Parts: sequence; structure tokens; C-alpha cells
Amino acid sequence: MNETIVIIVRVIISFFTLLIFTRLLGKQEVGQLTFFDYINGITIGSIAATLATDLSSKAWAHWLGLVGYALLTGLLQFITIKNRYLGKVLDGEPTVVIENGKILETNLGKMRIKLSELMTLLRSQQIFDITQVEYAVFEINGELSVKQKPEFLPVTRKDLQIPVRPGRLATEVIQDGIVLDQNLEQRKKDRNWLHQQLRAHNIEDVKDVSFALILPNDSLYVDKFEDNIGKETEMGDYDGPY
Amino acid sequence: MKKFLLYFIPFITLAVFITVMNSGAFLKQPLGKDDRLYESIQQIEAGVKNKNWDEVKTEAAKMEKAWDKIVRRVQFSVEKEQLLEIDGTIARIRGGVEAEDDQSVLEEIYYYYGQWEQLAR
Repeated sequence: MNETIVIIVRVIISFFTLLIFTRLLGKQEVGQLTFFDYINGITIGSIAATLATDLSSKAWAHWLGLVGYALLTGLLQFITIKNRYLGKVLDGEPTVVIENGKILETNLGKMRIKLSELMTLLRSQQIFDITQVEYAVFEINGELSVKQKPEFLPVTRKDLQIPVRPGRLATEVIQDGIVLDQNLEQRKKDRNWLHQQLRAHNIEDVKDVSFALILPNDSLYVDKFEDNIGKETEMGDYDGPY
Repeated sequence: MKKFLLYFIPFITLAVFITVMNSGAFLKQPLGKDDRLYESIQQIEAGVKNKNWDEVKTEAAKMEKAWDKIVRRVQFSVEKEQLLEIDGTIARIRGGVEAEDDQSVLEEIYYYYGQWEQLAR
């Protein structure tokens, strides 16, 4: 048995199976994972690693385990979307832990959070005075969402009745010296307009541009490859390897 | 076309993986003339019973070559330990043949038949 070749083949099987299954299972962000999702992910990863390197058992056995976990995860996702009742049972639900500055100890106990942990979570949201909190909700992904009392919220443009213009997105038009014509068209501009704008920035060749954006106000932001930065911003305090 | 490929490529990839992982049962069968391991061992059994040691020795050399070929084909779909065990059995058959010890060769041959049944099942 040639272990090297067998492991290479198994790594290919394990890697691409994992890639396909994770793409099929959706795009949930790591920050939004529940505790169960997190552990489930670790288990799936662990099975994939065993599939690649454990030659003492058949690849097929591990692969089936991987498929089983992926299928059940997909099934649970489907159930939690389709059935609200089961969704609540399987995922849990957000719980109010502070109401009008008062800590709800019973709910806190149900969620198994210590008071010191609650205070840490509040401080991480820049809230150092618990009396400012109107509601604090412990989410199913372990994060704390806080709604401050209105008198402690910052003033907005609406409060001051300052007119606002509708926001737009910035559009990338040059990346690594290559013009993105599709994006130019999206903003109803052409290459002539782009070259005109670049000349205004003293740039003759588009290849000198590392990155360019059309900003929401229709002006062009340009970043050249040549940065012309001195040593003032260097962060190192003493000589190192680079 | 692009959408078709988007689903077709992962589907085909998974199908190829499943085939590779389950190909052992098919690939352990002879696909040519010099990979007839089971037949070689049956020949050795017959030769040992007839005390025809010259023929048995020729067949034992064929048996080793056939096993080397089969290992290369089935290694992706079977357990490493199973291959090592059969390696050991074949080495012991070879040793028994060299020593012309019919009793030990027959013991190992029947042990091999059991192992062969279990290979890639």
C-alpha cells in the first residue's frame, strides 16, 4: 500500500466533499451560529479529517458519517424554517434579560448566564450604566442585543430635521490596472469619462491604478500602486527580520 | 449551460468519490492474465495436495506478483490492516512452499480464503 498516494486521494475526497456540503448547507455566518451549529461544525470537520488520514478504516465509512451529519443538519435547517414551533424547540428563542434597567433573574437563570457575564456583555456594547437599558435581549447565538432608553440615545439627523440625500453604493471601476467595464456601465459612465477623471488625478495610464471607485457623489476615488509614503508611518520600534 | 455545470460538476464529483470508495469489490477481481490471485492460490492448494512442489513454487511466484497488482488497485477502498494481514498470509504461504510444509501451507490457504471474502466488503 502506498500511503502517500492513498492519503492524497483521501484528502481530495474529504476536501471537496466538505466544500460541496458546506455550500449546500447555506451561508450562515460564523457569528450567527448557535452553540449546537458550532459543535456540529466541529464534528463534521473532525470526521472529514479522519476520512483523510485514518487509514485503519475504510474511507467509505467516514464518508457516510459525513453525509449523515450533513443531511441531518440540512434536515434540521429545513424544519426550523418550515415549522415555527419545532424551530423554537430546536433553536431556542431570544430571551429578555433586562427590562427598564431591572435584571430578570429568572430568565437569566434559564439562559445559564452569570451576572458578571451579563455585565461584560453590556460593557462590550459600550453600556456602563445598567439604568440606561430599556431592554436587553439574549439572542440564540449568544450575543446580547441592547435597546437603550430614548433619553440616552444619540441625536440623529431626523431629530434635528436636517435634510438627507438618499445613500448609494460606491462602485469599483478599476482593480489592479484592469477597467471593469460592466461596473462603469452600471453607473452610466464610459472609458472616456474614466480617462478624463484619471488625467485630473495626473494619471495617464490605467495600469498605474491599483484600485478606483466611483463614490456615491459620482466623484472618482483613485489609489495608485505608487504610494510615495515616507518612513513617518512605520510602526516598528526596533530592527526585525523585515 | 453555466447553471447546468454549477449543479453537474458537484454531482459528478460526488459520484466519482463514491465510485472510488466502493471500487474495491470490483477491482479485486482479475482484470488481466497476471492478476489472478485467487486462481493461483487454488492452483497452489491443488499442487500441495498432489505434492507437486515444482509447480507450486512457480505458482507461488505468480501469486506474489498478482497480489502486488491487486493492492495497487484496491488500496483506496479498503482498510490498511486488511492489506497488511493478507500480505502476512501470502508471505507465510511462500515460506511454507519453500519449506515444502504442506500442513502449514494448507492452513494459511484456508485462512487466506476467509480474508479474501472479507476484502472490500
